[in-house]
Amino acid sequence: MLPDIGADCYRRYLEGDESGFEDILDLYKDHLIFFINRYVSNLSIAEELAEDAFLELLIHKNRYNFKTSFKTYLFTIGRNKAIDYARRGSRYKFIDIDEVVEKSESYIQVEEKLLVDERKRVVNEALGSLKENYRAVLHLVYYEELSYEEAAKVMKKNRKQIENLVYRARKALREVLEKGNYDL
Amino acid sequence: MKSREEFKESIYRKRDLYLARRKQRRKVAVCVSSCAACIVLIVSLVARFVVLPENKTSDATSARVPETNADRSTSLVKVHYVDKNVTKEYKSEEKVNTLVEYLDKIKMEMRWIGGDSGNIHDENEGKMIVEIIFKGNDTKKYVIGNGVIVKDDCVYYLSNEDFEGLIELIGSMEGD
Repeated sequence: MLPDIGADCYRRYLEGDESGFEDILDLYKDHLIFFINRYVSNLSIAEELAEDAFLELLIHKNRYNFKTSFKTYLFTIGRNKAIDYARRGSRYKFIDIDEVVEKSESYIQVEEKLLVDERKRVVNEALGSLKENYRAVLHLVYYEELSYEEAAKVMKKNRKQIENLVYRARKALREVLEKGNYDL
Repeated sequence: MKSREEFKESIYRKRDLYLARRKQRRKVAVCVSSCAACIVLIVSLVARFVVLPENKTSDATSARVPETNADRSTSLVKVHYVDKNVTKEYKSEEKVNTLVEYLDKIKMEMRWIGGDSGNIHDENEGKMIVEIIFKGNDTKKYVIGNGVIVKDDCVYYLSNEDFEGLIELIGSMEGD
């Protein structure tokens, strides 16, 4: 079994080493923002929600049991934050059009950083037109490369449900790609 | 998009804000619970000394024992034997005082055993109803059976000795 670097960093932070938390930010910040963006489709809000998710690590120090993968734990928090946000409506401030342009540029930067593979980038574009659950599960399985078990924990479903969800999501994605003349 | 440092600072700022709010909430909670405790204490003290001033203990049994009948002027005592459907009336001062004093003596030892007289009253029906009529037509009624005495729908324990004593006392006096 591979060592869980995130869990080690968090353990270091809990033992009083502040750099442990900074390492966690370096490891997961962009990934988490990108994942949350699958739910909220707004990078600015995704960033705010990611901050809230990291904040949970600082204020609820005893919740992580070090038995599951740290990334799974963090992404579960991120998903909960995104869903809470969607339920509560737009609690966050509106952003003006100039800011949107700036955010779009920074989004492209993150995208380029995370999606080095051209094929992934094309699929990412097509993903935008899928249902929220499909977007999230495909993101976890293909972009974050989580196992079905880990994805199931994040999505709060069982393995069978995740398998079905991935199957339906892939089917929907295939249809979108076929209709949209994407060059893969 | 925020830089790494800005992102980190923002999280720490949120944490500080959260901790400050939590501290404030705890202070408020302590104040509220202290106030609630004070109110409960005041209410219980008021109930203890204002609502029930004549009772010197907080015991629920003693709180239910009424004031003595001998303190009040009594004009008539009626004793009704339910089984026999016979009623005796006592008007003379001596007999009235004897009966009232005996009932007062019983009352001092009464121990409350329940709030609902329903079943006990039925089981002991037919024994005796003693009615004290004070001057001004205010009345007090006691339903007395073997082992229990019912007053104001409350059931009290009556010792066998007191019960027999009351039967004997009433039996020894002729009605007026």
